[in-house]
Amino acid sequence: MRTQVRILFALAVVALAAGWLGLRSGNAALEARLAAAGAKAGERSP
Amino acid sequence: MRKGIAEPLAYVAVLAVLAAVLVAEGRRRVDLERRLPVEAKELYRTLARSQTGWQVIDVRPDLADGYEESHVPGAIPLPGCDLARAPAGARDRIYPTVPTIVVSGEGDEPELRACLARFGTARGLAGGMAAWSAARLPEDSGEYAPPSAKAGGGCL
Repeated sequence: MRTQVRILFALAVVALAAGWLGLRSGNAALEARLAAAGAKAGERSP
Repeated sequence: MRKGIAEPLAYVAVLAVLAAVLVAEGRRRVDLERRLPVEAKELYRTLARSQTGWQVIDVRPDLADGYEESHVPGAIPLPGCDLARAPAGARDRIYPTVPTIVVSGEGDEPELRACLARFGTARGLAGGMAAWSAARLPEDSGEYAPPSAKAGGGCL
């Protein structure tokens, strides 16, 4: 396989992996907010 | 020769797996955003600077006692989340694919969740219209009047 093609593939893998990691950390933050909102609602209800 | 195609195939396989997990994570994001209500002040800030075209849908069941008494400026009435009950001028301004904020009375009605699922990207207003009023944010009253611009509603 030509080096340029190999570099292109590697860049695509890195870009997708970075996107996945970013989404995953964003989702974790959202889940934490959701849990906090749920706990707050639980405190309010008798 | 076989050795020659093994490496690109391996790359393609890795890319396919990464694309699949990316799509799955994206779907999870949409689901999480749908479950996470937006706070009244956060919504106000979003609408005030919005270039993204959020639409605000008011699903309180009683049009006269709810929407017409007071509503989030630019909100489109959709009583009970039932298109048949929406005023004629509002029906063709509700787009299921546009990012949507759903406003209910108190923000915790069971029908709110069902309504959220009808839109591609949708969030409820935390505390509903009661929280918006309690935060002393701008309100409109009266019957729905479609905006003259092509904005599709939702702007302050």
